[in-house]
Amino acid sequence: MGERVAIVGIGQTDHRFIRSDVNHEEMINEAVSLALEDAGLGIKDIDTVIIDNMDLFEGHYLADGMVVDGAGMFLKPGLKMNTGGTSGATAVATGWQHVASGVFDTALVVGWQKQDASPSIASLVTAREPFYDRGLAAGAVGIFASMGLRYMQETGCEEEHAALARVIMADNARRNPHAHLKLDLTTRDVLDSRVLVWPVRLLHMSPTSCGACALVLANEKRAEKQEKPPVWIRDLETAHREVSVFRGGCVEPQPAVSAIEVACSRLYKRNGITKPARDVDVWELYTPSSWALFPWMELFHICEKGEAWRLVEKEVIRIEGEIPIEPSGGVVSTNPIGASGVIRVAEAALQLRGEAGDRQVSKKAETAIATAWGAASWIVVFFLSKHL
Amino acid sequence: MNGELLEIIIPLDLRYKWGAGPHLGAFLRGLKEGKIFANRCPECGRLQLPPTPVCGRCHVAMGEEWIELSHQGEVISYSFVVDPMYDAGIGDMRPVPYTIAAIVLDGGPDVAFFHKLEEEDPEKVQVGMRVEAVFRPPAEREGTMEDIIHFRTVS
Amino acid sequence: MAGRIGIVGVAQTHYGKRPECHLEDLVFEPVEKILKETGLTFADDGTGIDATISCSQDHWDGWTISSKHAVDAAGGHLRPEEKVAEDGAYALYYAALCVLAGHYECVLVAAHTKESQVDGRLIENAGLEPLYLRMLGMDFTSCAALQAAQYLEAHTLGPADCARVVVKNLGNAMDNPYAQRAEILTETDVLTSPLLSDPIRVLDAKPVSDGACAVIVATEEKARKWTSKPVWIDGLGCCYDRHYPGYRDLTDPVSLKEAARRAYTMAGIKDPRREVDLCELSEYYSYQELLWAEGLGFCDRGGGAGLLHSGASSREGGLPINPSGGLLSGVPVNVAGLNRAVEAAVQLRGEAGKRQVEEAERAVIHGTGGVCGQMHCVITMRRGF
Repeated sequence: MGERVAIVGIGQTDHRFIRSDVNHEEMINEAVSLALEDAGLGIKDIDTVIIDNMDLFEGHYLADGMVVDGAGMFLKPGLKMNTGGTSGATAVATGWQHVASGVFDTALVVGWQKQDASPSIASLVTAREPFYDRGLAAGAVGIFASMGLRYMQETGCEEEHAALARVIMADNARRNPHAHLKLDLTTRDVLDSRVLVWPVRLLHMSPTSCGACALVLANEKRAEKQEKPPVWIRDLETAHREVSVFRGGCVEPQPAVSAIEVACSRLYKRNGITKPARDVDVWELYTPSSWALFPWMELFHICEKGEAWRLVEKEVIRIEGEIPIEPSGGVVSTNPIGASGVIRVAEAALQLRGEAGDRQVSKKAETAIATAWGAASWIVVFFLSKHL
Repeated sequence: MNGELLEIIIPLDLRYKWGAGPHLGAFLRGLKEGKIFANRCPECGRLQLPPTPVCGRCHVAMGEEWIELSHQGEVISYSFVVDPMYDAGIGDMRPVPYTIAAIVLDGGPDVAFFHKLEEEDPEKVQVGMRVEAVFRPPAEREGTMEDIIHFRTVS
Repeated sequence: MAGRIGIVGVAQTHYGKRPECHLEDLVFEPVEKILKETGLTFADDGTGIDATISCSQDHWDGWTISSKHAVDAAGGHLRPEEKVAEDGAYALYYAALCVLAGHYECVLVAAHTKESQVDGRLIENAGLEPLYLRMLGMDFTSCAALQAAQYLEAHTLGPADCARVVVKNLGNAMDNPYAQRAEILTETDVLTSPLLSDPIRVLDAKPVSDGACAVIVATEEKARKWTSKPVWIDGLGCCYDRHYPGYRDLTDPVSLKEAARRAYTMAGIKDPRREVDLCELSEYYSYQELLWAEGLGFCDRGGGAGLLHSGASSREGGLPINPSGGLLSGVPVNVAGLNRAVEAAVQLRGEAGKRQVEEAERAVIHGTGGVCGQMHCVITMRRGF
């Protein structure tokens, strides 16, 4: 079995709609510098750098090559991962593998997106099969619309509940200095916002943001030398899903098997997590739309099927609540796509360190789950803990 | 030196000559003939629409036996698209509103077909309603998804 | 290094223009082959392949999230599948690290590219800094030409030296059933082929190519169980140089030297020229074989041509370079580094047929990416039976 891996440095930019004051490298360098400073290390202490970026989104071919100076990759080993929306989380997983292998003592993981410089929305269209569904041009929104519609049909959930979920995220985001959208919302505001694809409204969807997030990972030997307590990435699991769902839609016998359930069941089993709501203290779930929150809470087994909307109604998912979800404000408040997966892990780690400031959850936080979700229902799940 | 920030727009124009391959190719040729083809996994028996080379679950080659599906089916999900979206096909924002739907065609219980609905009135669309493909006249078909104009409601 | 990584099986497509293929067909071809030949399946209980590392580039595929082609075809459904968006050697490098980490004990690596479907020069142009270089109308070929010109000038070499690489490699390719381009040429043939960007001519450059390949790696224990001909991966290294070519001494491949140093250190190789039996490197252009040979430590600075002219790098020589025919024989970008590994493994297994290097025990493979070889990946392998 491999080396144990800890997060010893965390850094992220303040995420914004536009960062015309910096280019890609400069923006990345902000996050990298913050992470190194947080770790009390210099770039020479970093053995390898793992980058994630969706090249076509950025408009740059080989985007990692272009940011070598800013990310500190000069004369260092490293590579770039790209798995769509999960890219950031994949990069963390890749960094984890690098340290766990024993070949590297430390790794720097960097994810970023500079949406103001890239044709992200146009690029997203290229995620569709060119012959088959590029002409439909419905984008990611359609997926969440179907999700929301189905959930409302199967449970007592109503539009008000999705609106409340969004309000809670906004309240959380206002306590997060890095968050992009720090909106002061009421459920009325959400219900009045423009319909994109019913029942999904503008406010239910994540923004596109400019931002970067960096983590320094280290093995046990190096983590022990650190001043700040390490946060251990105890385990991780990735599951993708066949493309036919994305391509046209498989109508599966119910209940359909979801990548989330498959990944979770493996991870939970290995780590003795039998009652997730009790065994996990903080959840940084990657939910790009308020409507995704309900079915996914159930897939993560935070509650029984059909009950998630009730938990949201009771507001137990708040920062002060028993099952705090996305205390950072989540993807729906901040979404620099390439960084979002890294941000989930970073935010969860800050919670376990007790350094999340105004967004620190009230309950004692010793364990966390951080996830990333991507197109065609791909999932990466991390189990973080203060203890080995 | 004044502090004005410079920003330059640089277009990226990449044109791809897509190879449909034998499976998707057969599907598109089928559309031209007014037919909708799926293929079947020899192991799990699942239908794939459009036909694909490999079954993602069994990891076996799907083969080239084309199964013709009915033009009629049932709407299992739909959405009214109101927010315009960039359309790579026309190189511009696509006019709204339009309705997209997932339709299970008769004879194809494992797969849903994505296409547009003729009906644009939200009051008149519901899950479970029966629809039928409306093809262009044969002379106008080119072997693309546009050979089907949309699905009209069957009363 | 603790624990060894074994190559259990390899497979590749024929390289060439494949207009009849959908991208998914390309991925599936070597995957179907490798599953049949190894008898392995995707399994959740440790009895087969635990995870897939795919390798492709969104720009070349024209798909954001190009690994979607690999998901169905390469075992990503409800399973771990991650995409390395770098040259194929990096995908193998990462898979090897995963096996060392122990989180996965058997990994399938699959790389694909269909270069013929798009004008790659525009993609390469998009690999240059947008505000500074992109508008100069440069692509990787014109940048490589600048590097070639500098290199030849620095060591008083000429285009004829590069032409000789082409003659050697395309001649080697005659014995490679997968090769796209294989011919018996003379230096004059190369030197009179149309000019692309001085001094690089059509025959000096890798042709446009479509193809895919796959490798399965596993822990030593599983490799021994699942194949009678394991090949060990015993050295891993990769490294970045700076991006803007103007910052670099293009005649000195420092990032390649560093990648090679790391791999050799891990493998315990002190004198590669003597200890290595063959090398499959990534020469996108003929001059690169000379330059990369130096970076890989096979000779001193400027000595690349010497290896060629002395016959050392021919198939019968002391250190055959590209007995497969190399990239010049036609291998797509991204697939390149993984194809190098496939060829080296085939050699070490003694299954290279007419292109076999006799008594091949240790091999070095190399992959590169970026303008003028900005980043490099080096992997060393040795026969395990």
